[in-house]
Amino acid sequence: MRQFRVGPGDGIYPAGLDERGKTFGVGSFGLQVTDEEGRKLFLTAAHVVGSLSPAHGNDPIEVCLRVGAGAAGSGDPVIGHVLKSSPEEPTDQVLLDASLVLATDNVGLSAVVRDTICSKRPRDLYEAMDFIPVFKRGTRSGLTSGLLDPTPVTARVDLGRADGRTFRYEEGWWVEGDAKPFAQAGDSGAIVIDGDDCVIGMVVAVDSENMADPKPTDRAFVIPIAGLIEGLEIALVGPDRPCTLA
Amino acid sequence: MLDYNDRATQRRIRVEFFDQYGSQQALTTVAVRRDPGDGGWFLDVGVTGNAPALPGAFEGLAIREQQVGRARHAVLQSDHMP
Repeated sequence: MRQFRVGPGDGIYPAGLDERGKTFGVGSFGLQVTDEEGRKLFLTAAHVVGSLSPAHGNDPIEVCLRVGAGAAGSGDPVIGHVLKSSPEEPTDQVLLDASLVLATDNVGLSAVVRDTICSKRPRDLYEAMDFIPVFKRGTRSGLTSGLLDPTPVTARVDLGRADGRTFRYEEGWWVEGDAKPFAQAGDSGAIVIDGDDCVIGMVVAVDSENMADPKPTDRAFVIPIAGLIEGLEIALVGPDRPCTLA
Repeated sequence: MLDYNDRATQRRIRVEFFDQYGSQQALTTVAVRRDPGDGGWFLDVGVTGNAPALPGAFEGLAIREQQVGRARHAVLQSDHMP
């Protein structure tokens, strides 16, 4: 069986076709995580592959790896299936937007966003006051850097529903990129880290007037990793390295 | 007197404000912030397009409106592939 190495920067999407007969939209691999059973899991956004995605209702939801730079297609390999999502069912009031994917045996997972394996210690910004330099690697825009405003925000997010319904995300932060957009379409699910390679959050949305023509000032909306870890009962995988940045 | 520095209080205020006024689609974001100049707390409300009908204050916080964009999912649709 062919082996695959998958990590931050890779594109993923649900297998199958949507109601228009097209392949589902592509988001980003988040990060390798594990649970109390020690399973090989990875994290991404629920609106990419899980309960908030158009694939909700498929059982199971198989997850494909987008191979190459072109459109997603039938030749792409299945690398796992959705084990759990939060929320479990679609809801307009979103506390978490995350799915856990159980990787298939022939898939190796990575926790490298920049050039170092991320620390297993998440960073909670509960007491942060100053803007924080952050990084992410998404499937569309690659490795980018930016400044995260630690003031928590409740935001309306447009998940692209045909009926125009929007979703209230209870808590997140804005990140503005350094000289170019921090995130673009395709980067949903990408993990955000700080200068210590400690995980802070996950990209779920972008504030952009025109997603097809992104501007450097377009902000990314990032949800906190601490809530995801607690809500999904998971642990990060990596060296036990402290998060030293205040 | 509310402790506006408390994150749980901030969250409650944001969510309650959104629940009360969020039916107006122009309301986009809500944050409890501190003015860097005078140190006073206020409710930072992001709106898109026409200003929604909002009160002057909420839970003791003055409301400051600003025009912002709207957050959209960052999923790449197959018909928008580069």
